[in-house]
Amino acid sequence: MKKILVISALLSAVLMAEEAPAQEVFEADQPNVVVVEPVVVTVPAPAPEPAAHEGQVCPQDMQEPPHSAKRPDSYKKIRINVTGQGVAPTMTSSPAQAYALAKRAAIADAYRLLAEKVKGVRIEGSDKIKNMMVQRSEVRTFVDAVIAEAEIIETVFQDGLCEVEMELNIDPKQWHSILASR
Amino acid sequence: MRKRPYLAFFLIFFLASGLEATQTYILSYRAQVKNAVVISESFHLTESMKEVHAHPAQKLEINASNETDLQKILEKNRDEILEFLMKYGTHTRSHEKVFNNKSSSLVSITIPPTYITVDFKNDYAIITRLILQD
Repeated sequence: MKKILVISALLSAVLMAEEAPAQEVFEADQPNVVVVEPVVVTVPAPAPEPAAHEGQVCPQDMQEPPHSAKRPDSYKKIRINVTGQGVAPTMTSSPAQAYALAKRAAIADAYRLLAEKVKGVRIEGSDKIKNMMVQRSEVRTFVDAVIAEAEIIETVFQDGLCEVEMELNIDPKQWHSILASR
Repeated sequence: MRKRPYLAFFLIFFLASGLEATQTYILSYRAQVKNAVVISESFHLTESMKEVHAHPAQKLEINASNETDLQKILEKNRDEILEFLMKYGTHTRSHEKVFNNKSSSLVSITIPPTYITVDFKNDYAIITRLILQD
């Protein structure tokens, strides 16, 4: 390799030295034409690099989501939809008031349904049976929860009944430990 | 006597800053629903009597064309304000009783006392919910 470079450097020096007088001679009606034989210097080509992986996109990679988006199924957001119902009181001064109160009742019902699903219901029951007959049957249910980030999706008021659809999105990453311990 | 202009300047400055300062309010709401009918509703709004250390959180813009009385604005836009505040925490309590196959229910929803500020800007009232700092 070094020899080739040295030879090529020498040849180029010789050519440069001969080029200047040749031009002068050429300008002076070309009395002597110097023919320089072409020199072929072979330089070994560098070894081919392996194909860059970043530049190539295979169809399989295109279909797969990025690494950060890969989540197990248990980490997908939990969406809870409920529909609360409310009725306007009989003694209302205007249809607008009836609508407002019915909507308020429907919202409260929807919140109760959400609380039932998220927090759970405490149930107490008792039956009194005398002479093989049920004399008193009582079931009590209690719900107590704080609901945040619930959104009203749709409100429908028809025939005195108001229906409010509400949605609650729960992030399992945030709530998994709490919900799993129940 | 030379100090008078300075005193007047400071007086004007403090008055102006007091006018521009936003007032902090405490808002709370409670509704009781019995057998799917609202039986009672209470909505309280009062000025905060002491300075609170809180940082602003979410905002709600309400069209309050030429109206600066907050009570009237709240009356007009009560549903919108309640929906906005309910989003950030509503206490729900429900008692249901089934006695000899006859059901009755009582549900109460409560927005706990929440600090808010109200600013008026270009015919709009901007309600900002505050979160208390520890």
